[in-house]
Amino acid sequence: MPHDVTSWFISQANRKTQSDIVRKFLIGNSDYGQYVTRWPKWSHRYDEIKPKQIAVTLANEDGVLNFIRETPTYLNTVCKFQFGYTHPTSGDELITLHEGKMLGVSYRDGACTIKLSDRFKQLSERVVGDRETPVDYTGSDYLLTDIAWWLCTSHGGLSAVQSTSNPDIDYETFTGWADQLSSSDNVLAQAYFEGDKVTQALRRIARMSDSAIYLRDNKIAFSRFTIINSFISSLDNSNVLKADIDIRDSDIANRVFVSGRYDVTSDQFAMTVFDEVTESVNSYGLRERLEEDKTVWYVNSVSALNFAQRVTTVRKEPHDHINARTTIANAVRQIGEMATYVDSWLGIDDTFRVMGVDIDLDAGAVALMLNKSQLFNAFTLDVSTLDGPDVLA
Amino acid sequence: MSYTLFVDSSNGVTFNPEFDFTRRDRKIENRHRVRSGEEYRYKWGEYARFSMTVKYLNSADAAVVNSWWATNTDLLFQEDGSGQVFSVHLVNNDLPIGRQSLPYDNQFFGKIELETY
Repeated sequence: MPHDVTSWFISQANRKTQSDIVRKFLIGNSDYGQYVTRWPKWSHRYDEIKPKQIAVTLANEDGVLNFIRETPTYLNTVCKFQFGYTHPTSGDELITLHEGKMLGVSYRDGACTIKLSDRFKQLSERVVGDRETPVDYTGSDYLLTDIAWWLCTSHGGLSAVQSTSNPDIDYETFTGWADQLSSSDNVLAQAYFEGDKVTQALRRIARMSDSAIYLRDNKIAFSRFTIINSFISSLDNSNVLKADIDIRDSDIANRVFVSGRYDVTSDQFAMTVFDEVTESVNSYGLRERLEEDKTVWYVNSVSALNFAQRVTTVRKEPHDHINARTTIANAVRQIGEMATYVDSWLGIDDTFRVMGVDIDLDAGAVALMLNKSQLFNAFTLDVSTLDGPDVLA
Repeated sequence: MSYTLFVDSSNGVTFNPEFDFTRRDRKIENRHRVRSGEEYRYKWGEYARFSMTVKYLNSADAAVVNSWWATNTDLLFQEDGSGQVFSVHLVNNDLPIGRQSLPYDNQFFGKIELETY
């Protein structure tokens, strides 16, 4: 879903001539936007589980920002970039486009540059187990989503509050993801961590479940994109400045092997399943891919096949990867949303999923990364093949 | 036409600029043209800019203007008889009033460049 804004906000953002845009840079609760000499750019991607740094430069000729150097504890302050408009009766309506903790500050030639990092930074600074005392999730079979939760909370130090008031984890997306992988598909796994950073461990889980783990309103959000959502925005020649479209052969995987039931002691996988999409093989040739991980693995063929089928469904054919640079009206878009994209010259008029958002708050432009890879009808596990040649062990 | 550059009502310099008096306001904006040809303009702000040559400033006024420049004093700028007052800074790269107005050795000339803040 996009940022929560009123229809008035949308109408303001869609105007062709705007001279009343409000941009704020908050250090804590104080706005220093009037001192910003150059607003930063930042990017969010559905599959980049790593901290990102951005820097903002402010005028400091009058020493207004010297307080940070004088009181270094400000370095832990949460800073926010907000954008919006001032309603004539109800006041400012703003959305927070980016949030992060102050990493450092530098002073040079009357200017002050503040560096910020996002929520993933904390997870990149924590490790899970070590070679002497590994974190062992092999004593039982676990829901993959539970392992992800423990990585974020017990090991990553994020809040473990199990409600939407969790300040660190987007609980709504987490429960939706958990429902999908546990209630619907009952995906069971084991794990064995010997010093992975939490971000590395989450990347493994994201890869092994073909899930998106990303930042949404500066909280860690979890999704396994499937069917079309009801809200769809529209991109066409009336709001697209420029667009690049790529189609990549390397996207294709039409026979996917997934190894599971890993034994840490013998260093062997006891099971491998595979799924194949014949139509794709006939069209593009055989493209094989092996998914195995000695840190996080599936414990039964059902779970492994669930993953194999997911990958072949997503990757059986190459998709358009669209990078569309648009107006500031699309600053409300978030990863996971739908957008129709129309390009009469290329004959495109279709619905895509937003997989990345780049915002240039200085120029007032937004680039959306779209593709159709994770956008299809409701996904169901094809159990009819479990007794067939797909299960190798 | 005369103008006054001042800090307050008791600290001002009045002068008649030469005919090269120019006002060149600037907008801070981004313009984006979409593929259909329509243009989106986001204006973030604007500021006024004035530049003028002044001649025959007496030594006292020249010294006052130069000291304002050296100390980055916040100034006010007004066309005499006009109600509009601009809050300005002297933005010259070099000393504004630094030459004698020939044939006088007690009259000075130079260029004043102002921008609102």
